[in-house]
Amino acid sequence: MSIKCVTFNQALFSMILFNFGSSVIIGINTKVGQDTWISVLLAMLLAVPGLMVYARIIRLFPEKNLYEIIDELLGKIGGKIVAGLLVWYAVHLCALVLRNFSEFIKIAAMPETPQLPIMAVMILIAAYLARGGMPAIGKWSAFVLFPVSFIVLFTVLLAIPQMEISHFFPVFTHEPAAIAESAFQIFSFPFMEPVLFLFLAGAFQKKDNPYKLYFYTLLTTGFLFLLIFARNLCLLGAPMMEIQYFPSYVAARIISIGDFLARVEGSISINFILAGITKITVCLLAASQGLAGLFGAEDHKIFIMPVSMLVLALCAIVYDNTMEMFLFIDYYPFYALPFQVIIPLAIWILGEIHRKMVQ
Amino acid sequence: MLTVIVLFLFSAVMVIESLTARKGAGLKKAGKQIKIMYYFMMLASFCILLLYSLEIPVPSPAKGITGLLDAVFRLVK
Repeated sequence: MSIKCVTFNQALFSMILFNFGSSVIIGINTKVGQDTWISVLLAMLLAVPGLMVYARIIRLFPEKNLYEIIDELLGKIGGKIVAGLLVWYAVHLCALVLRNFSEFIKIAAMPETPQLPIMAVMILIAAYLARGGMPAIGKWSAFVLFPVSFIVLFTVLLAIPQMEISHFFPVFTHEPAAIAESAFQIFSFPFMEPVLFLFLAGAFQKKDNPYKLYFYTLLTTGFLFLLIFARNLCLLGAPMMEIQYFPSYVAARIISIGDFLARVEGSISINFILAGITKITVCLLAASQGLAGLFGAEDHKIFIMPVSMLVLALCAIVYDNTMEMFLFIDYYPFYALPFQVIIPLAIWILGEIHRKMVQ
Repeated sequence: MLTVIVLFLFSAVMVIESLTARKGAGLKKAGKQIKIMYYFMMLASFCILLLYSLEIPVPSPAKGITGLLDAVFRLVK
């Protein structure tokens, strides 16, 4: 595969932005209102073993991407079937994320504009970035992560005068089962989505520690999600936050400092777009890498444009309306479970057996 | 209007792809299987987007997935 290496920081930044991606728009699952922080912490705990499995796979097969690993473990036919499934997941996830963004732009800024041109512009930008491979994504992420984090911190600081800490109480008003269900949703979306980075693992340097990479990503995104949740909850209150499609955007609309600083929601939109482009690009690159492996292409670039167009087509037809998009989120953890947990777990077990046999 | 956008988008993409092919990064040197897959994906996306632009309903995979999951969980219950 013709992808060059990225530094540890570039890989870390791209993974953080990938996790941040569409969650920054739709927000994490807040069905348990003020108890969501418990769900986030529980989801982080649940994600640790899963992410460690991903890291172990990278450790077992350094400088190899997922297709090469699967091919080595399962042979040609089995490898192609499993790789095909994961490529489908990458393409579908890309289409879902793109749709989240076009729905957001339609609702927040351009209600009369058809979604197709918005989607087309975004996917073409992502395709251009994906052509540069993982190094381009790494450099883009290093450049973009700081403004994105700054905007989050900036909006939290600006919101302090209007925050109502009492919105956090009473604690544990929801059933443990409801909190666990919410944690499962957050575990799947977004914490376990970096499974797609296994397709790009060939670009990670052998000396870099993949455990640290996944663990730091989890800690940073977990912290940022908690911060965003706290800001939204303190500004909107639990009932208001739960009924909003885009709570971060609505919360930012409330922020104002005197007469001279208002309409901060524009900065939130910038965050949405920057992080979204990263997530879409990573999905595109993962799908192209997988297809290149499946069809024995020397360069993944050949598949970037067809995958982009397929994503665009899928994105256009995937939902009939915004309601359907939010309803699908309830199904998503069950749909994603085989791709995020079952297949990587099987690859890890087979990888360990393979290693022992080789030794 | 949407149909015009779809036609313009695919024309632009094909022009760009043919230009990159001249530089040696494209389809020219690729094998038969890759070429078939490339054109299949392009054609499938073009057809779906054209139908979408003409407001002809195309079944969504999300409905299939939710239907399948509903059926599985009904079985489990």
